[in-house]
Order: sequence, then structure tokens, then C-alpha cells
Amino acid sequence: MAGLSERDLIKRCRRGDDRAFAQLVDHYKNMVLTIIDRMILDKSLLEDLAQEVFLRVYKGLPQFRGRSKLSTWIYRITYNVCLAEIGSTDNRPNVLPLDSTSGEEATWRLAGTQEDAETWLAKLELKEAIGRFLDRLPPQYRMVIALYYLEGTSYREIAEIMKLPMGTVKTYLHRAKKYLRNMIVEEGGKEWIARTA
Amino acid sequence: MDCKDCLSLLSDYVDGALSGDFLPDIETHLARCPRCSFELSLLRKIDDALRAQRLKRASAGFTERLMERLPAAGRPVRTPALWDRPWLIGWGVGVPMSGVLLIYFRDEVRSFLLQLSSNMAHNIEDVVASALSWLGGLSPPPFPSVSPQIVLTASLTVSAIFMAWSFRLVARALTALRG
Repeated sequence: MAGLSERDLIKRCRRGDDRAFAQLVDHYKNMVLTIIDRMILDKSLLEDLAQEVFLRVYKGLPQFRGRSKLSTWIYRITYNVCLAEIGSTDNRPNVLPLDSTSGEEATWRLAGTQEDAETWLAKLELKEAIGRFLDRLPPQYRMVIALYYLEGTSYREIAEIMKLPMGTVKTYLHRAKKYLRNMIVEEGGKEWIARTA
Repeated sequence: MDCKDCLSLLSDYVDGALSGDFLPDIETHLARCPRCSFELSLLRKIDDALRAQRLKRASAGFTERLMERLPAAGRPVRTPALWDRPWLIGWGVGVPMSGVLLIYFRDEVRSFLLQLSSNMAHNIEDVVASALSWLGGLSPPPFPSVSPQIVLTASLTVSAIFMAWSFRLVARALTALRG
């Protein structure tokens, strides 16, 4: 939105200026698409759902009162579109229970000695694989992770987007990381043992 | 601090969200506990991987395809809030309020308006008489007397319009201030 304040852009969109709306879409489309990518497992639906989000934004802009940031409002719509999609299809992931056996003990049992564990950790390559683990988290946790790490959204804004208490957002973030840790140890540890056996 | 306490605080420690009271304890524990220190390294690795994720890129022509769909979606219609309709606030508040005021002060208002209308009638009579005499010495017709009911109705209408417009102006100013 170079050279144009958010308020001016909203005013122009409300007046029916399609060029202003295209500017708004260009600014937010990648983040909206990324959130949908995190939330929805059927990747063939991504662009259709993103288009649905922006059609809702287009229709809803006249009603947008500016009580929250425009981004907060758009991400809230994105979240609702994703929840509706998740509710309408059977693409809920299987999630490891938090009290799964892959707790802290598992790291040590799989890795053997402390030296083994540190070698495993040093060789652990997560940057490419993290997406696969993220897809196994519950949708709400995936949403918190996407907003917190990709957009740098504050706890307060995430709470507003997801209509949750701020404490719950913190809990979701903490648990999401714990889930990830457990899945990584479980799968990565087994892979490492298989490679080194 | 034991391992259980340390592990429960690690996520906040990595996020930099841990309060200063716990910092010395957790750092002392991490320095001497290889197991918790390993967990810290693992958590940092997860954190780095999450931060390293890239934004998904929309395909070329995404915006153009969307813009083509807008006419079919229909021009958005704004359902204005009450606050965004100053004329409604103006009339909704102004008319009942002027009615209440006029009923409460009806005697004072009636005598004032009767006096006013009588003076106005005399003035108009004088003007008409002067004009007719100037035109050729014609005598003026008798001026109709004004009934109190007509005066009260007229004053109610005038004050309602005045108050409605006043409230409308205030509502418009407040709406403009809200942006």
C-alpha cells in the first residue's frame, strides 16, 4: 500500500474504486494464502478459498467500522473461511495426544547417550520438514503458529482474530511447540536410529 | 528449580517472555543440566525452523481473476448504522424533544407566539394598508385572526425542524470526527 494510508485505501474501496481494492488484494494476498495453506490440508483449494476470502472482504468493506486493524479483520475472515471449509470436509488431521509416550524421556531412550542425542540434534534438519509436522497439528494451533511466526502478530491481535482470551493464545502456542517437539523426536529419532544402525 | 519446572518454562524462555524473577534460576539450572539444555537446543531449532518459513506466493493473475469476479459478486451495499444516518438521529431526537418542550412550556409559548403573531399581523396590516393607499386610496380587507391551535401547530413544526437540523449537524460532525 505504498504511498496510501490504510484509512485512505478503505475510503477509496468503499467509494467503489476497484483499483484501490486491487491494491488491497495485492498487499494481503500472500499472507491470506499462507494462512489458508497452514489451515487447509487439501492444497488444491488454496486459491479458491483465498478468492472467497477477498470476495467476502469486498462485500464486507462497507460494514468495516475500523475498530480493529484492517489486517486483523481480513485474517479473521480468512480464519472463518478456513474453519467453514474444515467443518465441511473431512480433512481434520490425526493429532498426537499431548500425553503421548513421545515425551522428554523418548529423546533419551531413542538417542542413547547424551553424546548421541547431541549428534542427532546437530544433524536434525527441520527447515524443510517442519511443514509436514505442522499439518498434523489441530487447526487452531496451526493458525496461532502462522500468525505468530509468519506475520509477527502480537498475542493480543491473535486473540482478537481468533476470538480467544490472550492466555489461551499463549497456551496454544506453547502446546503447539510441544506437539511439534514430540512429533519430531518420535519420527526424527526413529529415522536417525535407522540411518545409524 | 528442578527439570519439571525448567521444561514448563522453556517455551517462554525461548520467546523472551519469561519474567525476570525466573531468569537466574532457569539459567543456573540449564548450565548444570544436560537434559534440559538439550531440550532448549531442540526448542530453539524448532523456533528457527518456524521463523524460516516463507510466505506462500499467489499465482500470477490472482488479483486479475478476482477483479473479474467482482461484478458478479455485486456492488457492496452499505447498511448504515444508526450513527451513520444523521438525518434519522436529527428527526428522531429533535421532533419528540421539541414536542415535549412545547407541551411543558405550552402556556408561555402560546402567549409569546400569540403576541408575536399579533404584532406581525398588525405590521402586515400596516404594510398592506400603506400599499393600497399608495395604489389609489383603496381600503384594506379585514385581516384574519389566528387561532391558538394554529399558532401552536406552526410553532411545533418550526421548532421540530429547527431541532432536527441542529441534532443532524451535531451527528454529522461526530461522524466526521470518527472518520
